[in-house]
Amino acid sequence: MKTLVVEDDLTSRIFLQEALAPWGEVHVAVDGREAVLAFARAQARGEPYDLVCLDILMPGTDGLAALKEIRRLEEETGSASAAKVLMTTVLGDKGNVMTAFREQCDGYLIKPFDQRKLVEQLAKCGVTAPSAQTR
Amino acid sequence: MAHEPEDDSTPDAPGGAAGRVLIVDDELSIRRHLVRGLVRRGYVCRAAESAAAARDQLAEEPFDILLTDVRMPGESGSELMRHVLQHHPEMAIVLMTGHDDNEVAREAIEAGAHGYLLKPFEVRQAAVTIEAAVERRRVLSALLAERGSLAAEVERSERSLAVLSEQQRAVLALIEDTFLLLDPRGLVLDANAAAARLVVPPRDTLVGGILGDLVCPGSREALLRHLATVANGEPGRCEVCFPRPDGEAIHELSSTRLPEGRLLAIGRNITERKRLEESLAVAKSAAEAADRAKSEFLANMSHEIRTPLNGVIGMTSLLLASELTPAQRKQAEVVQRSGKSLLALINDILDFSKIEAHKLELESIDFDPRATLAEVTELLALDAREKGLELSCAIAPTVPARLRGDPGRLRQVLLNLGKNAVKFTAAGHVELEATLVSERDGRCEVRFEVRDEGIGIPAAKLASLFSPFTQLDGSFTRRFGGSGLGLAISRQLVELMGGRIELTSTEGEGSRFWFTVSLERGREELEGRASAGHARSLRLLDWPRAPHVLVVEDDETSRLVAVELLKMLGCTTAAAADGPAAIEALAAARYDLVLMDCQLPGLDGFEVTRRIRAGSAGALDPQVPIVAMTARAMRGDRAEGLAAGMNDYLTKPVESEALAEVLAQLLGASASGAPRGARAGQESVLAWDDLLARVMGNRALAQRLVDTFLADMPGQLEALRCAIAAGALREAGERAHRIRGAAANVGGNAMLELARRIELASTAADRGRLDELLPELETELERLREAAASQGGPT
Repeated sequence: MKTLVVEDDLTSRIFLQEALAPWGEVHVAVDGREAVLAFARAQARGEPYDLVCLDILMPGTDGLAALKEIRRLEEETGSASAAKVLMTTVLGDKGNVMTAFREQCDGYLIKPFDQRKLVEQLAKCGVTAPSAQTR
Repeated sequence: MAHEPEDDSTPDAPGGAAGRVLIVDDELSIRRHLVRGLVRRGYVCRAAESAAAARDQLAEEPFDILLTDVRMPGESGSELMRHVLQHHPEMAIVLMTGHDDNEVAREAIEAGAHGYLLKPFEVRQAAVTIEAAVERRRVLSALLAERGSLAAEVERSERSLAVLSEQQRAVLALIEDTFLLLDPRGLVLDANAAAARLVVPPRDTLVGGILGDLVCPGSREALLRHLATVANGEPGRCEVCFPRPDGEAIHELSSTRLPEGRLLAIGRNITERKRLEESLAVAKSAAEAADRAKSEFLANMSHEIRTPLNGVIGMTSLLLASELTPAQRKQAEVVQRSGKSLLALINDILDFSKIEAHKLELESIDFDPRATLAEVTELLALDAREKGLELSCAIAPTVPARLRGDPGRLRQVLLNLGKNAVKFTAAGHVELEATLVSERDGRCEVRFEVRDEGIGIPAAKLASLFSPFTQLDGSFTRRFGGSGLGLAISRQLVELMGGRIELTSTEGEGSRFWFTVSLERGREELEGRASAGHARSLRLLDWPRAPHVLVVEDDETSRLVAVELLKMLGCTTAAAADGPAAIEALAAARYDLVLMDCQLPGLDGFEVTRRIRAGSAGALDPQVPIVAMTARAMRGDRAEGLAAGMNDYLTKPVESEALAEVLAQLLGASASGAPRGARAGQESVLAWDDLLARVMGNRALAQRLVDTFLADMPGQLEALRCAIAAGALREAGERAHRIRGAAANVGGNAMLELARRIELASTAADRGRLDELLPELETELERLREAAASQGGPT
């Protein structure tokens, strides 16, 4: 599984990078604009991301705008399988998550991050334990 | 001498239709070469070795083309050309020059030649040049013919202009504006005296001239376009320049087409006006630059003053937290208070100068006026409680759920009025109210009112109250502090929002401030961000069924507040006034959640919780989530509550946002999540055990996260400080939000809470609060650093 972590905060990037490492390659982006660029590049190379963890509230292009753009890119290129997208948000900002669901995200993680919850959310998206995946 | 040897000239060739050429060159080889080549191309050729010979030839027979060398012994080619131009104007002339005579050739063209050839050349080139020269001559003579016809037209129009009355002519002669009658090509058919002065030196008449030839070259194209447009029947204006000895004169022409097709143009000299406009623009940009410099200076100064002041206030709060003698404490408190007033003053002055300089731009975003009013009430609640005042807030149901405008500035005005009301009221009520005055074409006029039962304002002072730097009198400043700018700023903000502000007051009974603002109705869908964190957005959460919540609270007002908040969040409620009533209620029905006051009379909240959890109380669900409500200052309550089996806690007064968070956490999260109990006993500075649980016991990762956080945070705080100092409150809010996420991740709960409040205060544009919170956040970071050091790697 190939993952793109989009977070403007360093601790969040490190947490998700470490937690997702057992599933395979993890790339990071620090804002929505970078995320969309990375996503488009990966698509163009024919190695699209399987999972995107996307912070909702970032300066500039925020997570919701990036999500919209990512879904648009997929539609445009007629990707066979859509990337799973987990939105991340700080406790208390749930209203954003509801908006995100309308924009077709697959689940959400609330900060502070919890590895168990991450595993739960991955399972909901149909991603099984890392042992079954190629490293 | 008139004839060259026969191979040099040819008799009339069969294809002589191309034209008759006279070739003049002193070199035989060139003559021969040209004759041969041109004859093959259908020309009839004669050759001459000198200009004199050529003249003889010309006298003898007609030619179409003269092809002559420039440098020849005796008479030159140029002289020959002048002769031909004069006596045989129907001939096309092509000059041949040496390679280095390029300039000579150009001069020749200007003197009237129709083409030139640079030696050496090939016959093919010569033929092409000759052809082009013939064409050029044809075009020129057509143009000449046209000039002739133009002159005829002028004559005709002069006759037709005779129809102008003497009176009309007299007027035209007197007016300063230029009057021109033109044909569509710009030929001047008639002009008045002012028009004659358009050109230098002035002409008796412009009639017969082409207007396009009289204007500066830069204006020609615009003029021709203008004339073409007008000739098409569209009247219009055009600025054109006429050359003057001292520069250019700019005229504005207004033209229209007359019924018979001619154009009438009235011109006015606008040179002076243009010069004034330019100097005005220069003066304006200079003034703007000075203004910008002033604003920058103010922003810098404010930063320079705030930074050390933040240090003073922060350090004083640390000092106040330490052991002090009563006298020292009093002195430190004075320092603290003085620092805070100074900060508030600086903030006011900055806002005021921004508005005065028209630097203040209002936002236009969708917002929920109820949430705005609720936030203001929350922010006022602390001071009101401290003074024992009753604070209430009402918003009429007719006020739309979403408005479009600047919620931050609206908050600022409400806070300002609200703070004054609380400040000047010793006992009694402070009330906030919002009503809809009118709605027309999607614009709503909303009226906000703040009433107090304070000292009131003497009638004589009412008029000047909204002027800057006005306070009732010196004794007020001494008693209540403040810059005297608050109401002036409020008035300006309200006026910027298209409304007005007024007050009525009775001395000794209280004051009533009200203002209106004109706002658009919000668009249908709120942007996600605009609603972030507000109770309103939580209502979007689809509860599978409305959660049923039991409120246990002895104080009637607090109970009512909790019940109303819960209803707003989509819950159904029941209430109990004491411990035994709560136990009875839980034994009778199932609840999804219990909100429990800690200081209940008799059986307190902790004991009630212990009995419920132990199962001895006969509750239908002993594991029902219980959330404590504790007074803000009671730190110990929190730990005791968690130890007693409570799931979470809220500080009083209960805020809608915090309540929404807890509800979402306890009722929205899946049952299999990490037990909330894991947070029990955690240190609020650094919840290490909680962090360890979240990384599934990976100590190295936990340590790395904390280290990264500690390394990253000073920069983040500095950036936050800069954003606040620069007044970039939106950015400050974003930065606080980022810090909030990071703090949450490492379990820095105290920092998390402070960052949350900073984010809230940024949205509320509450400068004073930001300046208070920032030093606290810095202090908390240092405490977290110490806590991490004592945690000290693997334990």
